[in-house]
Amino acid sequence: MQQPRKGFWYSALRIDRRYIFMLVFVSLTVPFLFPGMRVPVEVQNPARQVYDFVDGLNEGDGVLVAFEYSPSTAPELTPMATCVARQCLKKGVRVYALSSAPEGPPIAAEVFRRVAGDYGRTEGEDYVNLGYKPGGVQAIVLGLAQNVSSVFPTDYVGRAVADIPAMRHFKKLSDLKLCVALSASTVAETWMGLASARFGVPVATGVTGVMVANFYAYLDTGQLVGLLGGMKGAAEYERLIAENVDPERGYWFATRGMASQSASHVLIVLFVLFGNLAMIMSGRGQRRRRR
Amino acid sequence: MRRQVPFIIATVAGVLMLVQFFVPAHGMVRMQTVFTLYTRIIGGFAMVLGVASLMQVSWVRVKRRADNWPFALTTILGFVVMFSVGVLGGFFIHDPTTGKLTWSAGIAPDKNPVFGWLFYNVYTTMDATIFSLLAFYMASAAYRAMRARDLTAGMLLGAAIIVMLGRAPLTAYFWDMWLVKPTDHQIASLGEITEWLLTYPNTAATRALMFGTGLAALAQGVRILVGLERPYMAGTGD
Repeated sequence: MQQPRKGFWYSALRIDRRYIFMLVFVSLTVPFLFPGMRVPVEVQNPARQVYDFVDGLNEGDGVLVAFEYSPSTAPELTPMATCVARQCLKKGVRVYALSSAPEGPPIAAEVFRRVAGDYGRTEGEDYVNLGYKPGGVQAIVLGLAQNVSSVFPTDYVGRAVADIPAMRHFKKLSDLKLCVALSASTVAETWMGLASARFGVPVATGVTGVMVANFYAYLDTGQLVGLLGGMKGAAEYERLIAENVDPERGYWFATRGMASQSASHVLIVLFVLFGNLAMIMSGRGQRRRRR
Repeated sequence: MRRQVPFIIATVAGVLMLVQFFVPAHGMVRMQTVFTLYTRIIGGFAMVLGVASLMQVSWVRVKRRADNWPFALTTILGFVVMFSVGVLGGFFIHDPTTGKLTWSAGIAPDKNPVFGWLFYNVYTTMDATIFSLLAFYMASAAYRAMRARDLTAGMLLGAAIIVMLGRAPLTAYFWDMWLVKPTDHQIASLGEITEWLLTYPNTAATRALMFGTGLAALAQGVRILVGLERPYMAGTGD
């Protein structure tokens, strides 16, 4: 007669996933109960390259920020946009925002609302929110390369582009010194493939953590001038902003999220190790019972 | 004719766009500008069609009281409310510099407070919440599925653990404090190890994948241009 399976390790392999959900919830939320907790972030080269490139721009240069994401990935990507806008507007670099996603323009409007007033920058003079255009990012980039007003005849709130002072300096894509594509999809590759490879405009990209591994190949070849990877990349950029640009406002959401990210990553690694240990120990138990 | 005309349109348009990439003559650039303008216009109409289709499907589900019909009703109500607030709000907003009516500003959250409240407090929070559920399911999947059953799986698991800990600043900090500094930087920091993994082995594998997918996309494109594959005829029975 076969002996019934039992034992701690056998049960551990079949643990109710609600216990796992609960532990993940605790690891993610408890750090937020300590708002003053700041985890030291080591800055890596990909994020530093973005900061250094923007730092090398001059007053009056133009930077395009493409908000190619929706609110679901905003916690990772909006801190990147905030850092780029903060560094540019502090230096007097003009920022132009656009999007091929319908949710992009309100997110861009919120970023400008949060940052522009800190440095006395005004809409239309120092930054422009061009809004959203359907049809895919390829058609948008190809159109921008010829004539911006053919793609965006008005800005986000319906003002004619010809009446906006900042747009006198941005007639076509090659007028820009940098494109920063923030995306949670392959749209960032399209910006790089067209704006950088075809029209020669330097491109930096910010992507979610799960996608960052795909973009290291482009960083190595110089197709990207910098790469911001997930909330960690945003936290690295925030540290650079806080140390060099604006000590009072540099640290923001991404830095605050690092404690939760650290706790949850450690927890998941412990889950993986424990699961493998349970697999090994339950296998030994079965072999012992068969003998 | 029903099969030949779409094939001719697709092939001619595809060949023209391919040629204009390599021939930067003024006429070709002008043609590309016109084609991309058509693409944006068609994209706008596609959005209208998509919304109309969604509303029709949802309305049919509500009328028939099909399974989960309250969710279909919620879809319709959500669309109607956001559309109404965005469009109607624009009729009350004037450009402060020109005094003219800027009805498209109805969808600007800072210009239309009601739309802004709905966007930031309802849509944004709901979208972020749904995406956040992934963290819980990934943790459960990691516990159940990431098992080192053989050598290659073990190597994958080891690399994944190093990268996960390297992307967590707290563990990288403790690694530096307990291993890097006491040994006077003889041991690399966790961040440097993670960057090395991402920059060399990962890049090599990613490049190989990109070459493969790039060649496959090229072959697929050629097949579409010569008519061996006709994705534009999908659903027509041809």
